[in-house]
Amino acid sequence: MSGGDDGAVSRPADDSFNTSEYRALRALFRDESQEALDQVTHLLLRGPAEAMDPAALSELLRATHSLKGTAGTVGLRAFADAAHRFEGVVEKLRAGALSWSADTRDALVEIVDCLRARAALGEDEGQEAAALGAQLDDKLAALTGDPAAAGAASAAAEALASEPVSAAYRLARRDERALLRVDPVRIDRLMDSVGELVFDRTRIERRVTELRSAVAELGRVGAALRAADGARGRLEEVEHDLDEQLGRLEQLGRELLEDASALRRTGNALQDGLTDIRMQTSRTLFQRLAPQVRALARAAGKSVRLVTLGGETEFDKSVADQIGDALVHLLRNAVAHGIEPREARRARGKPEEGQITVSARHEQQTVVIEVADDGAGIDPALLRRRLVDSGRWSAAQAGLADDGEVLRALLDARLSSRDEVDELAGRGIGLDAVRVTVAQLGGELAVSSSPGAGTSFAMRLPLTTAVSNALLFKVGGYVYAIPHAHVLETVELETAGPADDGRAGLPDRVRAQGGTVPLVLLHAALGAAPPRPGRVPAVIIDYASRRLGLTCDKIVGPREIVVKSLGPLLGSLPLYVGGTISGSGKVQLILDPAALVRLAYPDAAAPRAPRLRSAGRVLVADDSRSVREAIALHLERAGYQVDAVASGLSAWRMLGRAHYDALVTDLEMPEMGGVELIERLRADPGLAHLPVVIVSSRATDAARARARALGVVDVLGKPVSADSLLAALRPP
Amino acid sequence: MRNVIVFALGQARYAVELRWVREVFTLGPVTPVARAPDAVAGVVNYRGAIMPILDLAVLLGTAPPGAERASAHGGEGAILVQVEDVRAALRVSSVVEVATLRAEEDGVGGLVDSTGRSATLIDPPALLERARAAVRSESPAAPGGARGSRP
Repeated sequence: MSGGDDGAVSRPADDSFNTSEYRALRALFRDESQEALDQVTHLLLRGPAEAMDPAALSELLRATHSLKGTAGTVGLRAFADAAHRFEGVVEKLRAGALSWSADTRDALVEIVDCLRARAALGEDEGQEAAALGAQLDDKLAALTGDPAAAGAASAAAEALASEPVSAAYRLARRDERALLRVDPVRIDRLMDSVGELVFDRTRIERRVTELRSAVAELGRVGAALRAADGARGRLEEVEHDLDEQLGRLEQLGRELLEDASALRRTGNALQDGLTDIRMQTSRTLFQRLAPQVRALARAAGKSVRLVTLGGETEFDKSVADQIGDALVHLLRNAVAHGIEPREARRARGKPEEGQITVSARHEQQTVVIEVADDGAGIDPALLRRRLVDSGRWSAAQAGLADDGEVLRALLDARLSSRDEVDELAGRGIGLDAVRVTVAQLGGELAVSSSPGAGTSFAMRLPLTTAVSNALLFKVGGYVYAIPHAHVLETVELETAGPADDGRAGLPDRVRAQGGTVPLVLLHAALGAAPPRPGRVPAVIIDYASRRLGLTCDKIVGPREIVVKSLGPLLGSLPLYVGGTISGSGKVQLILDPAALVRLAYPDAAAPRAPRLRSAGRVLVADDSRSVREAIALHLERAGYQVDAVASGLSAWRMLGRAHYDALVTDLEMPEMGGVELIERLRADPGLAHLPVVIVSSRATDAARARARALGVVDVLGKPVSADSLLAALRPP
Repeated sequence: MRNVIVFALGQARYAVELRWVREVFTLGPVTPVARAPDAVAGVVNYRGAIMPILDLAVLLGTAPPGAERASAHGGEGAILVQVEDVRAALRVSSVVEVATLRAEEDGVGGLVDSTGRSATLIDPPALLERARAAVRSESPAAPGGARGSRP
């Protein structure tokens, strides 16, 4: 399970969120903070031990500051406090009140390790948290030489003296536990068994119903016996026996029902566990890389250091398995063609040891895995010339293309296979295979480079290749799936009318969910032979408040499936949302509930999701997913419709596509920051008057002044409260 | 000079330039796609991705009119072609040979293979575009509105 300590989720002091929201935010924050702290460690260790690079120091401050703000926003007060104190130490470093040395660095790294362990615990106030807090206090006090803090901290530490192993150490140990390698096919098989379990339960419940009607029948027989009570004395004995048996049967029925609920609980737990097993952190994937890089570097006669970031990023195991080769391929390219030979690096004033950074992070609903080297980079002018020389591009084409397009040409299938362009440009070899792997998973491969400074390849993979819940059923010998979210129940129908009435003897409407719903003969829609007379199972679905029944031959059961696209050619077919691949390697098509609704309600316009009464539509832009979610929750609760994006650029695109009543934005974001976004808005006649609220951990006076000049409604500091947000958005 | 793969489909022979071909493979279990155009003979699992199988005879309009449309089935041969990001498998009866076109045959729809039988040179970009257009025309507001369901 993800939490381990989920039973002890405490709520933030101001009741901003309910327990489950809080838990979800905490899980988001846990991922995000681990990445941010990895980044902090990386910054601390990046420079030489003797001196701290001022740029790294301000980056360090910024990262710590924004972590503190995020922690506060999602209600993790204890962690925000700890981050605040760490920030204080970094401030001292910058102000020169604390001098930098290898010892200072090591102490800071230890403190960050404590913070990391603390973040993993969330708002849990148990012994581990207390011990970690005490450790943190001690380390901070030792570093800053503040005796008062040290005193308080060691008192707390003494109180926990019985704890033989430090919590941080135990947490670290927990990560090092031997991992069991399991063939995913086995897990899928288990998953199938869980599906069976659910149906076993349904069967038990049906048996109980039968049992009960048998009991009722026996009761009637008993009554009849009593009514026919004659003079025969033996009858009384029979009656007594009958009553006794009836009582036992009744008891048995109750017990069976209890068993069935227990079975359901077990099944749910098993399903959760299995889903979790399929999730794997990038650490597992990264661990395999270091030895490979060492070997590749040795073979190339280069010295290369591998740095990995974001090791706690979780994604589906099937994704991890499929990108393993692609990742190694990118590393091989980086070692062979990216990192320059020692002499060349020396000549360029770079450290002889090259560095390759492999990082993983979540971005919106995707996981981004990036391989970046600090090598020679790709010279777009050179590549442009190669493209023209080899006849791949016309001179005009090369002249028109910007550097980005030229770089992307490296990924082009027709350019990158066995082609001298790649050999000469040094990077494209086999990139096509990488791109295809990524595309098959429904992702994208991007390349960026700055000549002389390095190249980066980023694989953006959808998390949705991970699992979805679906109900599987058979029609005409093939298995189809429908998203489980739209399934209300399954029912069994009986054919009644003549089999050749065009409806296979089935009615137009069926009774379900306390009313009747139209029945669609899915057999006909899918071109299968009509169901045989007798019992016909049907699935009742609900989509956009329209309900209907679908006939099928057999319900297979609920499954977790990996949704795959039908590809560019078939993607526009209206009946399907995609497909999945069964355990035996067959393609199973996933039906689109919207298309099915159109079959049942042909006269209706395309069904729309029911419109909510809305206080207004708000766009939220913030690069922290936890902050986005927290703000969205605040606003949705107040009746706003909310869309959220991770960058200024995405916000700009969204604003061009749909009408929004207000924008809530962060200032520091990738691609396009808040200030640039607002400047663009103000320059656009249609958006110039859009109310904008800034939420930033850098709500300084200078930022406020700039924002005022841009006509911003308000600048709110992080952590942001629901009240201040709503007050800012309320029309004056 | 262009390299081509010559293949047979039923009684007819076709050739496709090697530069469009990603792989020649044997079809696994085929799943039919209801309400797809006749040119789509089904979908198949190709290394974890869902790959459409196209029926060349339908695409080229050489299928006898009114003929029962044959679904593809597992075990048949297929040639995987790719044009930019669009990939599809063409089902084939058998692959005959890999040959080199002489210059004078270039650009001509018909050519002759080494056994002296004539083969038709196919154009994957045009074929995939035709298939895509056919799929799009199957996508009215109500699925199956214009067309009845297919057996």
